[in-house]
Amino acid sequence: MLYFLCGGSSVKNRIQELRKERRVTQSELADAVDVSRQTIISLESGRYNASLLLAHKIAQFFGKQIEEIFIFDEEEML
Amino acid sequence: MTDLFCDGCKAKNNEEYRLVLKKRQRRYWYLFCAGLLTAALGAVLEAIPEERISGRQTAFVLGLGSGLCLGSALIIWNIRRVMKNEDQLKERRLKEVDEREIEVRSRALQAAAKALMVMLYVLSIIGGLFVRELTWVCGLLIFGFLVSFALFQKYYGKKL
Repeated sequence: MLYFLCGGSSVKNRIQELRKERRVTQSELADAVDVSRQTIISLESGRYNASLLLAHKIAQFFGKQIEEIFIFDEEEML
Repeated sequence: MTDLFCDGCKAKNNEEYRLVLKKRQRRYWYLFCAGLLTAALGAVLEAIPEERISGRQTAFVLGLGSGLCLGSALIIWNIRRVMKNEDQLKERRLKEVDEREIEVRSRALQAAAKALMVMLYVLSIIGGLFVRELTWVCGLLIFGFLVSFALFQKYYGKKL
């Protein structure tokens, strides 16, 4: 099964970059997308990958497309 | 640690979550009553002479009942306290609905299930040397776990 070979961080994201660009704190972002601040910290550090629903909420918050924020690393998957 | 009746609620705001907690509080009242009945049964068993019934078992029933009563009373008190404070209510709601927390709980449960299986396996081998019945009990528990796992896998396979 392919997914046993997958690394934990096959999806990279630009959350921290966009958040700092817009001067939004982790708590503010967490409040806006209805998750805990710890989840934002884990997302930014790449320890946790967001679900499609959360990715959609984050993309909506920043006014961008999902693929502009979450970068799917195909090479790492293979 | 989230409570016993945390079943993955999908409350979107504090008001919805307050309703979930109210329902849950009712379930803890039922648990409190079950504990009270168990403790009462323990008290009745206390009256029976020790030659006819094991004193240790009576103490166990009494302890189990009072433990359930005390535990559920504490949780009910905690739920009431949280419901009065909006910040604490939000914090607790996020702890339950946050997808990362759900993943953490799910992985912890999986790990605990594996640890339980290993413990039962070891207990069935080592404990069986001293008490033969232990091997059968542990074996049955492992068998029950594996059968229920297979059944739930089939159920959720159709459901999802």
